[in-house]
Amino acid sequence: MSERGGWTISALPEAHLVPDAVVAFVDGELSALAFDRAAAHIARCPLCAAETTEQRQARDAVQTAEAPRMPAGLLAALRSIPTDTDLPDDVERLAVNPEGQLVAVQRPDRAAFGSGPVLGSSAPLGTGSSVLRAGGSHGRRAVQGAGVVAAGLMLGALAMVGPHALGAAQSPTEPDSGTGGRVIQANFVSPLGGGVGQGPASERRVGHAAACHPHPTPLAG
Amino acid sequence: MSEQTQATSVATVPLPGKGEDAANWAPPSWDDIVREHGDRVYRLAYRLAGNQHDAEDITQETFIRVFKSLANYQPGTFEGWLHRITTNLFLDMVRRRSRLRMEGLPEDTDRLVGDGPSPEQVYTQTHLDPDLQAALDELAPEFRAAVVLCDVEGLSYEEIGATLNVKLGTVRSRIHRGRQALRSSLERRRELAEEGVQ
Repeated sequence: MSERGGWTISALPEAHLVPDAVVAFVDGELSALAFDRAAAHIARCPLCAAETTEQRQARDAVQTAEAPRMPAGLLAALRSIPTDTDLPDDVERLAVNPEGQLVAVQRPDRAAFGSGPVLGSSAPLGTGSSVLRAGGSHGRRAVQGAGVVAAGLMLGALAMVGPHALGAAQSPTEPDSGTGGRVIQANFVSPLGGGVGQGPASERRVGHAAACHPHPTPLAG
Repeated sequence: MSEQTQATSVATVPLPGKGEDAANWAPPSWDDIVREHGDRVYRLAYRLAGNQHDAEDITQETFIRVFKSLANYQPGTFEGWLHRITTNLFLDMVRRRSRLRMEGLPEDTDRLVGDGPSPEQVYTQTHLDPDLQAALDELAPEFRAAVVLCDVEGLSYEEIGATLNVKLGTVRSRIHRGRQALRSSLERRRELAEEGVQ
């Protein structure tokens, strides 16, 4: 292992290992040189040898303990997050990260996530009514958000806005036609078309990106 | 154990870096993400929080945050991202509770679930080495976090430092002292158990 953070072992032959050296020795976090020196010291110093043994014992106790596994109910809850979670109102969620990647979130019509449509298969999304917010009162903002997206604000590509969402984006004043589900699917979005369009100048349409990045069917169930 | 799981997940969420050809890359579905990372996040949350209820809360909140801020995701750091969110949620929870205690408010007012032990809890209590968890629970949260990230998650000191936002010297000293305390605690429990038998 390499030297970490410029730290050097401070054990002189006759001195004992400092605690930092003991723990780093046990965890293989010393440089080769420091490791050799520590090992040489430990070989002739019962006190330091005992300390390393204690560190190992504690580590082994944690490492060998059986790992807790996620209860089934929790797994189901996690899988339904996209249908159960209210999206924040701000549109910063639809943004480009420093790597030039874009992430957007859509929600199928309250369908169980695993059984719902996936990215690119947007027909059920279009059958939904309001674009994002269930309950109508928030729909306005969601529509505005989509409008911003369509305007190309910082966005090179947006995978997964359904046809209806696209329509709404293009005519932000159009009232919600319903309050059913929110058009949502959470996915990592593909990087912007192979590296192009990382700047704000890119004005790709949302629907285009969705068409370009069909999503594989997720595991059913 | 942890090295293995990490390697697996890294392979399954291969997000291309800057400039790479993204043509062959398909984004994972939410299901993929949950299946791939759920158990590990839960394990971390459980070892940190020490009980199923809190572990579930933390795990769920972690994934909700992931869902809400996928935009902040950066290629190659997904694991680290999850570790950071989970650990910080845990530390926030601990701090919030200690504030509440000081203000004389009841603990855990925001919990919705409750009630008796589920079959899973019973399983947990009988199988998951309660002494070890109890010994972990005795550690101060910051020390527990360092030990758990190191010995449960298998993170390097550097990664732990990044996760906890502390210097490497702090990482070393927390792990060292945390393990010492853990070992004494386990020893003590063993002796108590032996006395009980006699």
